[in-house]
Amino acid sequence: MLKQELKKIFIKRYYAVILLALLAAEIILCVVQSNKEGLSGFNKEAYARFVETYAGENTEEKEKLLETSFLYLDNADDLRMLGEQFYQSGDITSEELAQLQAELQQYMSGRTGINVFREHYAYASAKTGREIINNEAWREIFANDTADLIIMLAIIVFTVSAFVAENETNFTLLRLTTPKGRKALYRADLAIGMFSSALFSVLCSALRLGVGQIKWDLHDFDAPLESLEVFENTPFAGTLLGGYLTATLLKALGAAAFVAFCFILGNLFTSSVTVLLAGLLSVLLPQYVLRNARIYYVSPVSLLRGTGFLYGNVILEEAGELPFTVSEAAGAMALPVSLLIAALIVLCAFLFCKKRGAVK
Amino acid sequence: MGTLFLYELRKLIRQRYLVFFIILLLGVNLFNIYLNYDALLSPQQYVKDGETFALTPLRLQMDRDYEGKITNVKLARLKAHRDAAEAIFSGGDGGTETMYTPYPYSDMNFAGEIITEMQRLYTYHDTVIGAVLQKNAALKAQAQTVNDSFRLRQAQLIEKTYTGRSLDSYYRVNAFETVFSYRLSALFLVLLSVYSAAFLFAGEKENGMLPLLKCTPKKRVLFAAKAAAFFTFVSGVGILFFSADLLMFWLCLRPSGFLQPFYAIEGYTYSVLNVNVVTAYLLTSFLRVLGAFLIGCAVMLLSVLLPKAWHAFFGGALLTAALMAISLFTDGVFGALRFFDPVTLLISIRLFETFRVVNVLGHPVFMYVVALFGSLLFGAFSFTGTWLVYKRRRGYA
Repeated sequence: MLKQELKKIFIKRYYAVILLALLAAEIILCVVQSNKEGLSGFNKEAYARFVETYAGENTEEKEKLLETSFLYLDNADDLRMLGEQFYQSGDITSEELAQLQAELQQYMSGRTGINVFREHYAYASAKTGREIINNEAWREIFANDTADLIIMLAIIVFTVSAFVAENETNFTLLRLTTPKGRKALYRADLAIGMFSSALFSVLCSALRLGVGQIKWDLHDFDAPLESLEVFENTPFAGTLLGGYLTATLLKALGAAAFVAFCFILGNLFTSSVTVLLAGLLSVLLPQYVLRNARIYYVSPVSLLRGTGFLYGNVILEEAGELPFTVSEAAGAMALPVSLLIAALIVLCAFLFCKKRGAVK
Repeated sequence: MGTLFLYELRKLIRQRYLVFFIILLLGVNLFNIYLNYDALLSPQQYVKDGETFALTPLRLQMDRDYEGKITNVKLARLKAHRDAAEAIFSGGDGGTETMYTPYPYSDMNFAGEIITEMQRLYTYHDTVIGAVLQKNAALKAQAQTVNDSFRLRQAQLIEKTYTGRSLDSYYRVNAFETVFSYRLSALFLVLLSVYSAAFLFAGEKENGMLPLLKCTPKKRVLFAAKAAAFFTFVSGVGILFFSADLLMFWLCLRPSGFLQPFYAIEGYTYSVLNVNVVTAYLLTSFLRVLGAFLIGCAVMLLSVLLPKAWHAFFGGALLTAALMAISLFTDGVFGALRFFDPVTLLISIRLFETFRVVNVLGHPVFMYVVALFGSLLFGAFSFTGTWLVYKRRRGYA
């Protein structure tokens, strides 16, 4: 039966094609996002160069070298003038002057990137236990707490094609006449949907990390999660990779719960277009309208915002110029409540199965 | 035609759950305004001697007392009030009986803000308009010298737009800037437009009615009736949403000066519109309704092409997302696509913010005119495509 249902959904209803198209869209989005100069508009080469040189634990030696570099940057104009004066007075040769000017030019052209690195270094050095990491890369990959719209679309399309379309063609009545059509078939469809959406969500997260790795050549997976500025107050004591995997797991659970929620919507509205609209609204409204309310983290789609649960119990300000917007943090009870709500939704969905299966 | 139009309108409104979604989205929209712009409903507070005071209503009272024509007497009174507040705040003699708030620092700040705003308004003609016209005169002379007809015409247009502007009254007009830049209701209008457009033809196909309707001699009139009903529906919902917006913002922010010139609003100092605030709001609302309708026309085309309504809705949602991306993120050569993008009308206030023209065969044309024309072209293309497909296809799903 499972094989038949899988074939029906993925092959006959072209859901496999849709998923592949959405995966391609996800790759394009990751590449386009990572190729943009970023909203900060800073020099990424200079930033990456500094990160490569000084990444890892903050030591006294690194501190001294960095202070020297920052001194060069802050006084580049004066140093250039001094260099010219020394050259004119014969204290240095023309080659030495050219070398000095080339070094200073490197600092000046990379000024924006170095200043961004300086801010991150100031954060990392403010507390022991934090490491110097590629903050910008990890922010691009990880720090955004909005639910992935591609995953939403995949789930909503699945619900419509697997559940609601059958209501509209009255195929449901035929299903109900079969021995397994009352409960087992619906549960099979629901399980397929939950599993495939969770897997799709994991794939999307893996893609995002993969594209980030190709672009930034990351080495700091083992750095503490707190090294990334948005996780300043995180209660999670793991590493960056551990945090990312935790967020991925939460998103996968969220995707599975969202399938169950859409299944309930499908049973309530029984019209494909209405389910589509209701599904879209259930994503867009908490994400874009109710951002400042606590319910942002306890809606049916809240688990899909996996990263937000790792922020910690502190009110963070809106950061308009960053590539993401940080909203009010989840709070200590948000994760257990969200998990409970997700469990309730899945339970309701399976109960609906049972109810639909009941002969009138 | 009239009867068909009414029947189509009724059919549109009686679509399943449409009224439910309209009420839901209207409620969410109003709740969002309350949550994020609730200066009055949840005002700034100050505690003194165990008693809590809401400062915002007191500020509104101050604004009301000094509203109207700016005079030297008013300015002198305000300055005296500010100085008195500063004296009390610095530990001088005097109680807060003559103050608006129990906190002299607030009075000092409020008075200072009103004085600054009055000075901005009063000197608008000399400082802003004077500077623009002076610079324009120099550019005009330069254009005449090099015989650049486009720049000459542009300079003449600037003269015509900005000459004669002056401001002489103080009102709480700056609160309108929030009203004009608010976009959520436009997004909801587009969603509802896409939702209802998806059913127009695909819904008929799904329930087998379309072949029957196309057999009738009223096939063409039916098409016109559907389009007219759809436009009426979008306009009606648009009026509902934008009126509700204005009312809710008035409750939250209490702006005043509805008949003041649009350019009195600080963020729109250089606006090309020489109309009052109400007219500007009506104009931008009309453009937003038009934008939503034109996007709906494109969904109508999908509806007549695709067999299922949910296909048309899904395609429409993706199309809307693509149009938003074009409008917000394209630049350079691809920036020209924005002129044909109805989403540009949804954020129409950006077209009126400042003097922006496009060179059309050597003549400067305001950007909002070009955007309007381009969007209408987009709509006409969608509409014509819909008609051609409707006319030719048999109508089976």
